Amino acid sequence: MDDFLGYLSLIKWGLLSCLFFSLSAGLSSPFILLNRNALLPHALTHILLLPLLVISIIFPNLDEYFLIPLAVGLTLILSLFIWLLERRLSIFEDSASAIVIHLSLALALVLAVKGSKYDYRLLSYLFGDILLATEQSFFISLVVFVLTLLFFIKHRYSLLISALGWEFPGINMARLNLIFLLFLCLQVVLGAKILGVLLVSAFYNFCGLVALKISPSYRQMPLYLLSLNLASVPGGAIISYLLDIPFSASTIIFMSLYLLLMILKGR
Amino acid sequence: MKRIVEVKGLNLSFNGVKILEDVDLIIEKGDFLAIIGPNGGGKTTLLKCILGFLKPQTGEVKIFGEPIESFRNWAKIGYVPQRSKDYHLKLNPLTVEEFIALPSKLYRVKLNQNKLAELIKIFGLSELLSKRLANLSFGQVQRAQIVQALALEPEVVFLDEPTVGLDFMRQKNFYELLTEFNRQGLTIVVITHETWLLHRGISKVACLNRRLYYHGIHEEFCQLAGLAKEGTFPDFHLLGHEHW
Repeated sequence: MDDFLGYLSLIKWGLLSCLFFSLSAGLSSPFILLNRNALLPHALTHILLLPLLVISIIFPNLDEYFLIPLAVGLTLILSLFIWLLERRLSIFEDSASAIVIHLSLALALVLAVKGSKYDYRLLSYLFGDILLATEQSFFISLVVFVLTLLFFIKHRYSLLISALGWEFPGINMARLNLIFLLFLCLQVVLGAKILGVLLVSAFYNFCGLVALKISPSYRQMPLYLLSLNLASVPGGAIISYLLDIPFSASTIIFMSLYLLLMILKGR
Repeated sequence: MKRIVEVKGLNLSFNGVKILEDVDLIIEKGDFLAIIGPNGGGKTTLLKCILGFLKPQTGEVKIFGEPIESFRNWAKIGYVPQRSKDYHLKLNPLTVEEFIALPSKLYRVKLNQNKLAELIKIFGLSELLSKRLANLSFGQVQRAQIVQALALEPEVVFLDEPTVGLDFMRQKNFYELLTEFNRQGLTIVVITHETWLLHRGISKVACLNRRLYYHGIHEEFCQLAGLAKEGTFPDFHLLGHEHW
């Protein structure tokens, strides 16, 4: 027990940061899933590599308070190319996403090879490290969660009709979608630092899907979303400790148990 | 008569193809207008311009005397779009009750609960309110959509091909119900390409096939088109093309 408490004390900032990140991602996830765009966060995590490399080359010692907004801004600009390509070339969103992802990754690879400096933060973003999270990371996660929650409360119905592609006269979706994308970029940058770019997008799929399936109404859905996400992070930490496996992987394994239960219950 | 919608010199093209050409249209209070025309004739596009979803290259649209760009009182307008499969999307978490109340949440307007209860009863949705929309049949979703459009007691309601997929009797009942709402003062604009459906309750007809070929009262249209009675086919030339 003492060992486990020691482990918790060691990862407390990472755990708390991850908890608030998962709540933010959870609130955003239904809209991505209803829009049939489940891989958008995954695309953002891949696009993020290029801004991280650019920042690490230009500003090698940038503080986290500046690094995050800069990475978010650059990721947002790059992700806007998805919509630009979609409109200009009249192609599907997944095709446009694939083009932007691969181009970003190619440029990131060039920069990684040509750039002579080694930045340890890049590795932490690639694979995530719960031990590297600090009080500062927790504070940023908390602020992002509060902002996401306020955004959700104010625009939950507009976000829903936008995700479902329904039209209501007088409701401007373009601006709302842009703000939503900004929130996604913010969450992805934040989540990637703790969980790594490879697994962060899982937080937009598992709990959101289960909540959408089992919630009896839209009004009750946030309750299901927040509860499922709230249980996943400590659940993942326990599995991680018991099986001695990486925290991000164990959390996803824990979340997949919800799906398993759902399948067993026949929903 | 009070003008609900004024459309002047509307022109709209997509990729160089003209969809709407010099369209002028006036919808007055109390009208029950059917906009008819062939598939691809621009009916839905015209409606989308009227409701501000599409911006025409030239021309102007006024709603309740106000230019569309500055119009804000959207709760005065009910809209039933062309039916989409997404209403049946299995993940859709909305219940029928939430779906009906959606415009009041979006426009931040209070619902008249007595009126709403009456509408729910008329359209036979009382037993379905707590059900998820995804679990409803095609016809039930259509009824819920109409109740949603009427829930805020709008002054005008636009319906885009609302009877597609319904059998003849259901279509007839549906139009009779609309006629009753029209008698009570509701202005109704219905888009359809099923001209044989033209119901007696409809007061005006507009024939659109890129340009507006005819806009006038229903009886006159029936005479000109050789539409002697409900359920027969009109003269195609009046609709601006030779083959339907």
